[in-house]
Amino acid sequence: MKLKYLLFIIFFPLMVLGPAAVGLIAYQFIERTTFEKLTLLNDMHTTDFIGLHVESRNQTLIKNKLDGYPSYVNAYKKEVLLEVKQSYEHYDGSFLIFDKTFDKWFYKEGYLKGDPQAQLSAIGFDIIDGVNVVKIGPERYIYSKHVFSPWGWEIYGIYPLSMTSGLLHEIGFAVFWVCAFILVLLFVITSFIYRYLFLNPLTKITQFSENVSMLKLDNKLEIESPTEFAVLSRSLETMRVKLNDNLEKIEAANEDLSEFSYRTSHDLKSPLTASKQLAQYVLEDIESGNLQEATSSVERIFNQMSKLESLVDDVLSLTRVDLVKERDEFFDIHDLLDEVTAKVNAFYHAEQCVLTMTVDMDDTKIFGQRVRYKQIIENLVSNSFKYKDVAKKQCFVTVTMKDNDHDRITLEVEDNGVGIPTAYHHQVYDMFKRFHPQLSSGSGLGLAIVKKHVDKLKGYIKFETSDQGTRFTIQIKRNE
Amino acid sequence: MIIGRFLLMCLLAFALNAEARKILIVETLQVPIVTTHTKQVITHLQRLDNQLEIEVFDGKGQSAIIAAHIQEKLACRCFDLLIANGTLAAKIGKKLLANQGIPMVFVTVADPEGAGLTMGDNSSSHFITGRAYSVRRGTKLEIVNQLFKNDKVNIGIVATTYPAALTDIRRIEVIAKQYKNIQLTKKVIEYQDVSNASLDDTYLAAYQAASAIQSQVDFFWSVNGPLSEKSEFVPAMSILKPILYGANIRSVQQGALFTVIPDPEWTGKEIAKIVVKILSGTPASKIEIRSASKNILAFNVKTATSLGVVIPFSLLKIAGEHVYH
Repeated sequence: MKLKYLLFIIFFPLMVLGPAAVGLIAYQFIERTTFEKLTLLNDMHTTDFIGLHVESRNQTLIKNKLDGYPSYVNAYKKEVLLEVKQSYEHYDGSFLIFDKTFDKWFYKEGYLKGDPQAQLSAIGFDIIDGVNVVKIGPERYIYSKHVFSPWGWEIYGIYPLSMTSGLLHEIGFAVFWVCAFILVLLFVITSFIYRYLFLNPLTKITQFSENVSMLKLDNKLEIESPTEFAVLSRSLETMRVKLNDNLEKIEAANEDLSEFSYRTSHDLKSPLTASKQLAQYVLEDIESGNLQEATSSVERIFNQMSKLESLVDDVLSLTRVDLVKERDEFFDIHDLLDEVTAKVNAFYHAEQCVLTMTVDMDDTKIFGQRVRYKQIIENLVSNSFKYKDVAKKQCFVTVTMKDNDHDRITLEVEDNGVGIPTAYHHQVYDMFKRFHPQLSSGSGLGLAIVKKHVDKLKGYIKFETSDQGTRFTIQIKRNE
Repeated sequence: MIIGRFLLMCLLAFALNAEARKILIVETLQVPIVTTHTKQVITHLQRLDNQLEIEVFDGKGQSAIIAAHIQEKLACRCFDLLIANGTLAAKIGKKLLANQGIPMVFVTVADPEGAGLTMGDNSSSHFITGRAYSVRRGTKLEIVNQLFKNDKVNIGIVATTYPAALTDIRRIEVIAKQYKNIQLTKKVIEYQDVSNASLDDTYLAAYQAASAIQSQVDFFWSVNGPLSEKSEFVPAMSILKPILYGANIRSVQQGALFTVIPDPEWTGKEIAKIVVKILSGTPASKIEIRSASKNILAFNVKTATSLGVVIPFSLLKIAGEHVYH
């Protein structure tokens, strides 16, 4: 089930029940206070009436010494009774006056339903929920009673309960609409909050996830709030970037692997095919008794196998670059260079190139992976010997180690060989690339191996080349 | 604030050091309402400006006396402002002060328009202002109606040809037509003010006229004018028939059932303010002529009870302290 439906199911009853409960409680409270307020209002109204019309007249009579004059008292009583017959525009209550002297009721004509005289003679007083109620005929009224002794009057201010109910209905109606408004408002607010805080971020994350699953890694994920989603989006975005980088690396590596597999297979197959054919020739030569030819073919088979062996060695060297697990160790560069010199002399003794090793370092002890340094120097020197320029009188190869910058070690291998043709400069570190196949039958992996080792050492390699020769410069950060 | 106070002090000092202004009050006749007004005006004038010099002159109800005194004072320019207390004094003052550059304020004048004191279409009254001594006649008759409900009331009016009296009678007659239960019977006597003796004759004739009509009426009514204002009026007329409406508070105290008149103290206060305003530079023509803004309603309860009349609460309440026994 979708989150929005789930949230709706959970929150909607709360949003309905909440305002409903509030409304119910409010109504109960308002009902109670309404009765109290109406009672109070009725009492105030009655008190005001008495003060304004009855007491003020009596005071005037007393002040002017007319309270002993029956004509004045009666005349003023009549004036009050006229006031009782008035209607009040904003008040539905009225007054009853019981004259104890005459045992007679006075009231507003038309206010009491039915036969007022009969009903008033059977008037019933009661208290309901703490409210003074009087029953006159079929109607019940809230009442407030005051006794005015100077005139022998009982004055009642009355307010119909039916109007109270009507009033309560109006209040209830108003409360209902207020609650409904609150409900709608809550709904709108929560919807907005839900959409803004939850739905939008989740939608973005969902879309992002779908894109990642389909390896569409170009679109960024940006969520700024709420904080939790923002943190998640940043993590996902980092994941996307790394995934993108790794994907590119994987693709590049796949390409390299494909080419590697192709070239390896091709170069491996070539000597095997040749050897197979030569073996056939040997058999034929032996059958024909041509031993000399057979010997020549065997020698050629031997050469092909040597090439094959060399190729396999180079492939193994290339793969070992990634598999070197040797720890960093201290070694002396002089010892390393001596080893390289010995090996090169043993291998290329017939080449008659002058190999010079120069060390210009304050501290000849290097902390690093010895095997990598060794292979770098061996391969570069080996290339220099292989690609010497026979047209030049004397070939030379110079290896220089420097540490002018104490943080870095600089290795230079310079020769006066045939150089690298300009057209191949961008392919110098590619696998299986040979730019002078007529000069050497190598595998074309030498510089690729050097580049890999330099990368593993987090170093930097560059070269300068011409038909005068080539100089490779490698800079490696000295490990602490 | 400080600068304002300083300026006020300077102005006050200047005012104090300035020459005192002279006020002449001319009373038509020293009847209670006139003297009451004079007293109230002087009280409030002295409260507002105690540097004023005030002279009061009794005209004794005679035009010649009034005119002579004003002319005498005019010749020496012995007053800066005239307060004419009563219609006769106001009319004479208007005539003598025209184009003299001296303003006049009238009081105790029932009908300023009838007396020619309002500006109207001509500008000859531009130096005159004041307060009319009048209450709407409709108010008085409405009170009668409330007192007697719809009972028939025959009212006798005995008055002189004093201008204010004639105007009053005319207006009451118009309004009385609206009340079917009110009947008016009038007798008008020539007002002669040549001398004190002629005045006394006038009053005697009036009383005789009242005797002549007493059988036709239930009550007598006091109209504006010196006759009603006389302190002997109510006692003398009451012998014949009760006085329904009295000219002033004293009349009610003497036995008239009720009166409603402009409040003399309030009128005195208003007149004093007008005088100070004019002396400060406001032209009299800029001050509106109107009735006093506060009235007094007074009842004599003893008269009411003897007549079997119950004064309604609403009226008794308005009368306040002016309920007499």
